[in-house]
Amino acid sequence: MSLLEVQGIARAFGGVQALQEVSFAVETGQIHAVIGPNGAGKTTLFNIISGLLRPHAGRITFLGRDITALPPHRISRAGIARTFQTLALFENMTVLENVMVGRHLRSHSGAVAAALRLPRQLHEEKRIREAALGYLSSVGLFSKAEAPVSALSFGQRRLVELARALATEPRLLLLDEPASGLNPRETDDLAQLIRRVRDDSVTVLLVEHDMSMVMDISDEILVLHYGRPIASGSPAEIRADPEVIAIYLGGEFTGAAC
Amino acid sequence: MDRIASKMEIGPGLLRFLAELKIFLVLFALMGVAALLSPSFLHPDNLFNILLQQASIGVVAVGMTFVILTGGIDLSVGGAVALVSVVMAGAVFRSPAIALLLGVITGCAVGLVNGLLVTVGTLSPFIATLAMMAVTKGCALWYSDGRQTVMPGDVFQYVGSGTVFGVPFPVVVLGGATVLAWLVLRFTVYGRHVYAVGSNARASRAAGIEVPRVTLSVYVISGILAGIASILITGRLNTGSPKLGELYELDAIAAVIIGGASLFGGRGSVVGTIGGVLILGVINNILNLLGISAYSQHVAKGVVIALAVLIQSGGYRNALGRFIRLWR
Repeated sequence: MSLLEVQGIARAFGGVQALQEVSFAVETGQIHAVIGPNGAGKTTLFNIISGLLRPHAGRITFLGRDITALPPHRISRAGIARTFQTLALFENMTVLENVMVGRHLRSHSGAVAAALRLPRQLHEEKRIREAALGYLSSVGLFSKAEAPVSALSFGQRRLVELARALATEPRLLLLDEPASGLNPRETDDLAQLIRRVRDDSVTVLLVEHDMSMVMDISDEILVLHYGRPIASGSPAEIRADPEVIAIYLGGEFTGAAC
Repeated sequence: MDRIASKMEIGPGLLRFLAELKIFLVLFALMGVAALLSPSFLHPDNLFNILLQQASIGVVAVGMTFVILTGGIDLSVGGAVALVSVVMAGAVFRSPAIALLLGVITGCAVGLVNGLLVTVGTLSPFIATLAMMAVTKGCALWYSDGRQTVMPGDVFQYVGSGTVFGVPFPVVVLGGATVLAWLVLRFTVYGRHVYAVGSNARASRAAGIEVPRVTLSVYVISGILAGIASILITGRLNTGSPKLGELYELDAIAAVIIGGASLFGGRGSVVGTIGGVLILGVINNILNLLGISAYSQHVAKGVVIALAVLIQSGGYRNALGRFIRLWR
């Protein structure tokens, strides 16, 4: 059984068909990339998998369970975490607090519990803090724990978002263009980090424009074009696919593939 | 590592608490001015009187803090206070205990409707609670036929004017609500979710927070606290009246904003809110002591709100430059 199975997904915005008949499977322990030109529907696909959007057709199963109609927090709880292309952080919290919020998913959180079981909640808070510090050091931001997010560089903020996603203890991590806005050095570090995450048995599904990174780290690649899958396979197969080359001709792909 | 972690726990938390207390510098400065203007201001009876007068608005403002932290607003709290008051006046002849219980339930119900309109109906909080303000005030007048009722028995008298170890009961309730809300907001998972939802809803969903449930809950909390505030004010006046709670929503919002909260959510604290409540109370009190008319008191209150927010937001910096550019 595949970890994630996407079957016949379709979604339109007004008259624009953003995704049609998209089917693929993500296998446990792999780094799976989704590539395609701008407007190919990659982010829409992520929004559907993470529950922010409902598909108009098709179904998604995760660990054999249908998650198509679940709200975002249930999907997080099932074990899928994500990051955003345009960052989504809590700007007026510290770095540590941002990660702690992700960690909350694995603890009790009701308003009534907060009021009636205050002592236990206060104790829980300490454990959450320690766990969050662990995730921060794994992305190399331990020393920034108490800094406000607004004091961080763009690259560091991406890592905070990544640490928050990891803190939910996902089985599957969705990364939406994690390298965009990073310099080459930061991109290299990120590639290392993604590999390490995979080796810690978190499966990774990523959307990315940086072709050299995608070709470098992916086990499996899916190519979308105008909302349809046109090719899938290993980096070597994708590099040799005539249709893919035609779409990317003169674009970033040919440059990066050389 | 353990030692570093425990050190870090104390450091920034304490710093933030001190930053929260900054509002009390403003309060003490204001009290200093008040003491100079009127010798009777610092008399303990007068200070207790300020606390007593502000107790019910303070309880409402604590609830309003939860709502504003999520980026919402609750305009229906004044109407809820009026409705709860007349509902209790209708039930008190059966039993004061039932009246109190019905009061809290009514406040809770108003909050629940607000929360459902915002989350399920996807109305903006302003519109949803504006509608509920009209509905609750209307229901209060309709149910009571516009009449006031003197509350019989001594339960309500105690609630409004009794003391616990010398401290007026309403002040004890305000203190309890404040401490509980502060602990919940600062040190529990739920509390951090309230801040998170107001800070960035998209990030909250990504982090697995049940955003609609958190949103619903803050309106219910606001409604329940409005119900409790109504119990206090109904007891103090010993009267169930549909006129109670007039302009409570504006005073409560003003207190929260003076306390440093952002109307866009994610920033603010209960400690700041209480500072704001007391600042408003001191201003009212000193104007009363000086014998200034109730009409000009509104003007003074408005000026203080604008000044407080100008200072807190830093909007006064470069104001001259922006003023000049306005005419270029």
